[in-house]
Amino acid sequence: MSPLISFIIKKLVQYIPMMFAVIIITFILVNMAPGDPTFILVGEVGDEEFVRAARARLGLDKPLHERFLIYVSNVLKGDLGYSYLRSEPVAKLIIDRIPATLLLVLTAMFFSALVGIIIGTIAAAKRGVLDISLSTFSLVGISIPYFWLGQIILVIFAVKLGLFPLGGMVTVGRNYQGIDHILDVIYHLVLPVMTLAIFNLAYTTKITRGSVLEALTQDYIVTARSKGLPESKVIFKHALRNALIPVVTYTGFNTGVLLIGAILTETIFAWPGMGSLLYDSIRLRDYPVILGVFIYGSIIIIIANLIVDILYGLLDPRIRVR
Amino acid sequence: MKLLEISNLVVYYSTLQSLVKAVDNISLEVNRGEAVAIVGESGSGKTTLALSIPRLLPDNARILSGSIQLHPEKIDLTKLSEKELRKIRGGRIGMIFQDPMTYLNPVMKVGDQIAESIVHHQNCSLKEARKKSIELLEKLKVPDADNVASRYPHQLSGGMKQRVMISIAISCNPELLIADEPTTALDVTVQAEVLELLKNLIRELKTALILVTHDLGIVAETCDRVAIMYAGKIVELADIYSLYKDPKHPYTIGLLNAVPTIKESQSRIHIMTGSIPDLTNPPPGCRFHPRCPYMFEKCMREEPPLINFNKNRYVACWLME
Repeated sequence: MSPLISFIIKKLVQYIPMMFAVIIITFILVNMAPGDPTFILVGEVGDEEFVRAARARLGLDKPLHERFLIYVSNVLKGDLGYSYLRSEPVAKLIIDRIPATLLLVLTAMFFSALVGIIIGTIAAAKRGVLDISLSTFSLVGISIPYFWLGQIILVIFAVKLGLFPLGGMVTVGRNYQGIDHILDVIYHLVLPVMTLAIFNLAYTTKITRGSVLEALTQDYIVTARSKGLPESKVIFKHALRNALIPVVTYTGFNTGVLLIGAILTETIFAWPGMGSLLYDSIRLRDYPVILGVFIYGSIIIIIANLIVDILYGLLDPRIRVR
Repeated sequence: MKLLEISNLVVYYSTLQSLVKAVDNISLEVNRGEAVAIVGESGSGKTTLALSIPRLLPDNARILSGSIQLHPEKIDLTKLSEKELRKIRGGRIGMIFQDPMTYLNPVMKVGDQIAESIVHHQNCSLKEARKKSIELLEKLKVPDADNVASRYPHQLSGGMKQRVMISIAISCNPELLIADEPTTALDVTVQAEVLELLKNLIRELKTALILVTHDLGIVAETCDRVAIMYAGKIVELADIYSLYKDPKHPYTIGLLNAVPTIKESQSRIHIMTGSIPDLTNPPPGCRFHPRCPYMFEKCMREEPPLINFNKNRYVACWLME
């Protein structure tokens, strides 16, 4: 077996207890939260007998620990249950929505990492006024909450200027095909990605700047300069490559933050992803869907961390998997 | 024939509280193919002097006055633009640093680190440069050079890494090599090997060498002339033979006495008491006077100039007056 595959398997095994912890904690938290899905289904003034029948149908009449055991055993069989309200399997609901969320999150991640690394490196290399203004920008970017930023962006670019659509993923009723469809999705993607990426972009800038500054004090930078290399090569080839490890770590860790950001962003822009599904499900107390989204979210975060671990080795031969 | 002429060089470091006069009015000449040692304790300013030649000093250092001319064109390196200087760094002046562990980039293959310099200065393809870098490693007696070139620094021993460092320095046939304590970070046995290689290399390539060290033992084997530095000043400058046979400055005598030998049956090493003075506020007069066993009244008042007293011998000491 190749060392990479055995490394991945080893890591995955380590993640099993973490998955269990995620299931236990979210199950308890979701059930502790106020509200009762039955009332949403039958209304608050329903007939008592009717309410009891509805509770039994949803399995909510059993005590918490029993419901937990039933849920876990079903999850282990690969069954995430049925949505209370949409009468569709939870897994299908989520899987239908995953591509939209991944498109949004990965685009935001790629864009913010790329631009953040470039801006951060320039800030570290130039210092002075440029550095101060870029650092100020990143501080502002880190401090703005998604829900506010999203609405402001929506008001400015969609409502006032009319440059971009108000929401959704495709123009309703046009049924574009092929390249037109792709362009239409990109057109709808711009504002949500902007909203989601700004925090990440600002943070990546900050981390890259610090990390490059640190790398520039290292001895091998003097060697690179002693070769007569131009400063751009010293910075981008020698300092940045060594500075990227903390940036990659952050980007991996931040998958979770981005997924949470996606909930708010998708809700604001009516983006048909997991985030808006979760928002609706929380509002309507659709327990199985909430739990399912958390489980899928954790899996996405685990995969992201795995990718980070593999990237480490590519960036730094000293920690390459053997 | 002159290659490098340092005249009245003054280099200061600015710290938050004060100015540190690391190199204070130093003049030194290096001829083509000549090996000159700069010897002194830690803090004597020897590394600052060496690094100011290719202007690789840290950000807080300032070359305040003086000139460093590269012959035959007499280009003043202290006034050259960064762009012009880059052609000289790595091209005409090669640098070897103290600790090959930290001075090699940990995430680049060593072959590529050598090739990078060749590509930059000789305008050849990466493929050719890689081939040349393997040849350089072979020249430095690196076994299995082909394989070593594709390794990363952490996979090599200290001696191997220093050979890589030397390969980088000589990759573009420089006229001057500056080696800043090239063997200090190495094992004693490896030290001798690397030194031998370096010595043969400068003979073969007819490269001049400035060897910065605190170890008078390695100087004798490698260099033609020695400059002894103390607290930012050159206190004695002599050819190697006269210096060892007949040291003049009390500091030089002290240094030579501190070198342990196996010939004499001395059970103790002579030590010099005291330490190098605070360079933000050096003592008046001769900077060595607080530690000098022969100190007299004038030493405290006036600073001795570097006097030429015999052929190529210079000493800065009132005893020689």
